[in-house]
Amino acid sequence: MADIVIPPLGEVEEVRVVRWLHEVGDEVQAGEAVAEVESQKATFVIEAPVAGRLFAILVPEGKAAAPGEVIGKIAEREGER
Amino acid sequence: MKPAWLKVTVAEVGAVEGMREILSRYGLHTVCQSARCPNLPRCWGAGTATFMILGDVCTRRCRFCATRTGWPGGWVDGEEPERLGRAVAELGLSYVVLTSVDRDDLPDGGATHWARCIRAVKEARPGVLVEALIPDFSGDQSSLAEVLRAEPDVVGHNLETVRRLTPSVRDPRASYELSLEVLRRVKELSPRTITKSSLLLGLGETEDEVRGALRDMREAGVDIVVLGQYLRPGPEQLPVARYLPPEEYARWEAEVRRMGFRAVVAGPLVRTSFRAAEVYWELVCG
Repeated sequence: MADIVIPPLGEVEEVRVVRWLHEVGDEVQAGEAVAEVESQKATFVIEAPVAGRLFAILVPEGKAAAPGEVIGKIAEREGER
Repeated sequence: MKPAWLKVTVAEVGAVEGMREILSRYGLHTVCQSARCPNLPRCWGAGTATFMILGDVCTRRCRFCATRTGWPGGWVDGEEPERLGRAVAELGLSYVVLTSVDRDDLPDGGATHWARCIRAVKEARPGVLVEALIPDFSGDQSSLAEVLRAEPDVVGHNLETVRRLTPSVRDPRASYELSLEVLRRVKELSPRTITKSSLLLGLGETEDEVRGALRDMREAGVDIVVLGQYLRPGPEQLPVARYLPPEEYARWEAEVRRMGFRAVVAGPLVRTSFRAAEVYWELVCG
């Protein structure tokens, strides 16, 4: 299982998850955009760290998260570990 | 919800952490951090940062800026130039952008330290190009001359906004006229130095007011114009009056070129130091 993490964004302390681009169960490719989070200044596109199936959304749309926080999980495809 | 054109992709986690580690090891500040810049993941991921010298506490409080305000009471980190030079060497940078907080608490506004930092970078990394985004030094001519003697390759000083909005956007100690005077004096004292100035758009200015500011920059001999969207760093700063779509930046870019400036960078996520090295080389190589 791989974590979808809000990456370090400098001094930005909090972002809001504005959109999940996939539903739980969807297949995603490594590097594919999976979520959009918003700081006070701009929108950041979060990419899938690995290929697999979106297993869980831990921070739903509209909720706040901090850089470093796990916002979702991806179940990796068999044989890709 | 932010406009669709203010979207940034973040992937290079490792490189960002690597830059953070180097900056903290050398005890350096960046405007990337203090401005909460959305380009940080991209720039740091590409191994570039804009160093902010003279501390991270500014004696002025401009209403667009998130840098902390305070009165450092004359404190200067005398070791900063050397550490800066070492960091630049370790990062292997060939183009370095320096900026600083305002230091109205220092008699020279920080000019001596500025000159030391520029020289330290040049000594640590021979052949490096240095862009200095300087404060107004309260209009002090000898401070400006001191910085220019260290031979920065590009000197930037931002007008930030149009004449009418300056008193409500910038600190009362800053002024539109003073900033133009700084730009003019750089060209007088050092005609070969390339000068640069930026405007933040979306603070409530009209197009004619922007044209007026551009004409003033042109008369002050500015070579490079930078136009970017004002983005509110936090709830304490001014709200955004308008988000300009990318097409408007394209129009401004064409107009600025027609006015005879040597280079222009315009776009929603453009900041003063954005693509600084490329712009320099485009200008120099024609």
